Amino acid sequence: MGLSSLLEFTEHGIYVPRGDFYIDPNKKVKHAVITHAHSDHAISGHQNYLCTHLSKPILKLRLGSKIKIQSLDYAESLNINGVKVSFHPAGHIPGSAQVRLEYKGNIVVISGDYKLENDGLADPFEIIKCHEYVTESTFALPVYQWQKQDIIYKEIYDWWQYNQSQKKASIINSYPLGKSQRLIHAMHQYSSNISCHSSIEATNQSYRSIDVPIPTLIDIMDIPKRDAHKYLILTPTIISQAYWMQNFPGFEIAEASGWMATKNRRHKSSSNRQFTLSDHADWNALNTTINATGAEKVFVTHGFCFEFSEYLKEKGIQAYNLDSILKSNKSIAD
Amino acid sequence: MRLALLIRLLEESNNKEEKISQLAQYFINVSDELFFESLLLLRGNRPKKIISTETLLDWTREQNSVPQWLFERSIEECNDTHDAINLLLEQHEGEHELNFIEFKLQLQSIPLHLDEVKKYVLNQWKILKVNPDRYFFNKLISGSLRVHIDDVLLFQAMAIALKTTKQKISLCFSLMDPLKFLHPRKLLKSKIFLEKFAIYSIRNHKNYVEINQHQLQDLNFPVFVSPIWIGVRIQIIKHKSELFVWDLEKQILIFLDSEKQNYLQSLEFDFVVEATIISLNKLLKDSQESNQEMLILEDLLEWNHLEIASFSERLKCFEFLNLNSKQDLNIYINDVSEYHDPNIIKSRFHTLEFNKHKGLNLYNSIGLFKIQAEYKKAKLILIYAQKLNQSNSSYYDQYTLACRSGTTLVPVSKVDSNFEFETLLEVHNFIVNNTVERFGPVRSVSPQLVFEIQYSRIEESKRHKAGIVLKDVSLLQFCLDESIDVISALSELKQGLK
Ligand SMILES: [Zn+2]
Ligand SMILES: [Zn+2]
Repeated sequence: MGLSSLLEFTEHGIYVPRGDFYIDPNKKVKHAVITHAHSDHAISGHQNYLCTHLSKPILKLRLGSKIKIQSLDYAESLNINGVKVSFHPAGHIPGSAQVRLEYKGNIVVISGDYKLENDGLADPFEIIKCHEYVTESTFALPVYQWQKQDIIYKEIYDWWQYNQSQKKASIINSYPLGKSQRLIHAMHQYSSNISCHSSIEATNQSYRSIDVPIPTLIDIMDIPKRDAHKYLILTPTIISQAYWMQNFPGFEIAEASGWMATKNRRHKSSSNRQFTLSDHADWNALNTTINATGAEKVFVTHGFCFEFSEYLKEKGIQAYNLDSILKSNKSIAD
Repeated sequence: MRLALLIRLLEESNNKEEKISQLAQYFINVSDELFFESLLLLRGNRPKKIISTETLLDWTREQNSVPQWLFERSIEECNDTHDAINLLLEQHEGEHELNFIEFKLQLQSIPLHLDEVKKYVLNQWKILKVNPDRYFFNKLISGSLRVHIDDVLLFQAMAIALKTTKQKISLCFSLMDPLKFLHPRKLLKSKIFLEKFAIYSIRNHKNYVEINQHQLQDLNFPVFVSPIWIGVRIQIIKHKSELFVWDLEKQILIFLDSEKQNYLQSLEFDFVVEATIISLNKLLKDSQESNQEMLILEDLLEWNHLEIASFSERLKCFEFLNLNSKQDLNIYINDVSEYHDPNIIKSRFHTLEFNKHKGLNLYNSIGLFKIQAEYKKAKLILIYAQKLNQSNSSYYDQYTLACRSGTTLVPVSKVDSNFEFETLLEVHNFIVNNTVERFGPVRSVSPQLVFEIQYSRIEESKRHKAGIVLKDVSLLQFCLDESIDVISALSELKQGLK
């Protein structure tokens, strides 16, 4: 037996030989089980996709409507060559899931990206007891500890109000899938003067089609010039010279991301203001989760793998730096 | 806006306009008492240090149970100890905003006993808003807040907030005894201020018509010719026993060193003079030390409250000031010569040292003219930095700049910083944070910082790898995050060779 009872770590990513499928593979494969639609987890070109019902329209939007895709409800299970596969909420973005695998009483869970705080849109994260846990580690350093989201929303709102008093529109640069919808949903409780770039609106529409409660927004082009300063506008990238901005008397640009926690990164940001808001688990959440799963073995991927796996080892958990394993297996394959 | 947030925004912004508007917004809403206290702080007057940053780190370690190596790795991730401290402490929902006035009072009342200080600090950590108040608190208490806002920026912001002019604010500052501080809002309306302002309001300074070398022959001769110095252009107004020095460009009040100030004040005449201050050692930030700057008197606008129309008469009056004997004070009258031939003026122009002089002022019976060196601009990228004067300056202030040549960077100029302190410091910090390698006193810097520079001419040089060297270079501004494509190409620069 290899490192894991069920998984193999190959140049294509995490493989389940018993069921002949991959989880979030990074190269084209025959059968791909997808945790969520972010591009570092879901690439195009697989022959068959398996995901949650909620992820399905987003995957089609991003990868093309012709992909072959099968979907499941949360907690609904599918038997693939004797391996019981099921999805469980990861709380990361609407539709995101942890993948639970069970074979002969042995349970392995692949977390995908996750966060513990309930953002009101994504189904809240569920702890799943397992023997082996594959965890992300995007923010697995003790300096990454999030404040409660309401504090950040209030900060954003204060900034927005201040800009309005200065006759400037408020533009937030945020990730089009997930972060943007979370912000729209959260900021809408303060005011409905919110608009977004068309690339974000496309995702909004897909979500609305499956009843994720994203409010309907005014189109950027329809914002009356004299009211532009009242608006909060979400854009996917910092485009300071976009054609629609020429309508605006003035604007401030902010960025909302977990990376904005450190002054170091804020300094490198080209926005005028930065907010720390993340869809990933922070240091405390990662540790809480790993304890709660009861896993004896933890594979750390996607971030500060070295630091987090070393730390877990010191805590007496059998932990592995999955990225370095994947990398070395890849170079053997090359 | 609260002070803690203002400080964070000021610390993290590179944009002057943004800083001014944030400061102005802050001044509009702040109480009189806090207005005064924050001014002191913003002008670099830090509260005294109570505890070292190292001790704060130790206490943070006690609060946070991660292993030492991970603790260190976390600090490394932040690249800023205070940022790391604040992030490593618990991210609770502290309710309290830091009240700066209260804070200063508390500092006076806590006994400087380590246990007491610790009790105080730990309690503040618990109750303060995490961001940015707790960060600000830690910087304050450890004496590590390095915020120093340039007066020009401050005055501009206050002028906006108080709906007045920068000149008036500047005058307010010169009248304010920091201990008996009167709020500028009140001071601006006071009788004493209005009287002073009437005396001190700046005289219209003379306008020089710019001409080129070919137009010299059309002038009426004779022409009085004097060099235009590179330095701070000022107007000195002496009225009775008071002396008042305006920076003509920044439009703020400044001070000469005390010896010069005393000497000019002691003269029995009243006068208004235009002059240039040339810093002999521009690297000393506080050039309050006497004779560090040279004062070149150029023109006499008023003499005992009279305007003197003819330039030659004005020159004679200058002599009454008996200044040429004042070389020990480094005060000089500008060198003026009378010329009758345009070609001689031309050759005078060509022998100017363009790192000291910008050009020539010309005076004749018709009016005032000037010819100036035509500077060219270029964009170069910083690749090496060192300290110009090891003993006097703790900042990196000499830069080797490169241009593009194909896909490589080739050094074409070594320039001393002519930036103001605040900008100098920004560049310094950039250099420290982006050092690639050290070679003795020289640091090689990752090529990211682009300088817009000006230079008077370009010469062939066998000593330089690029084959050319730029002359009389000075820095205009810098920008980060520009693409490498904006940097001037060697081939473009070479076209400047005749
Ligand atoms: Zn993701
Ligand atoms: Zn991801």
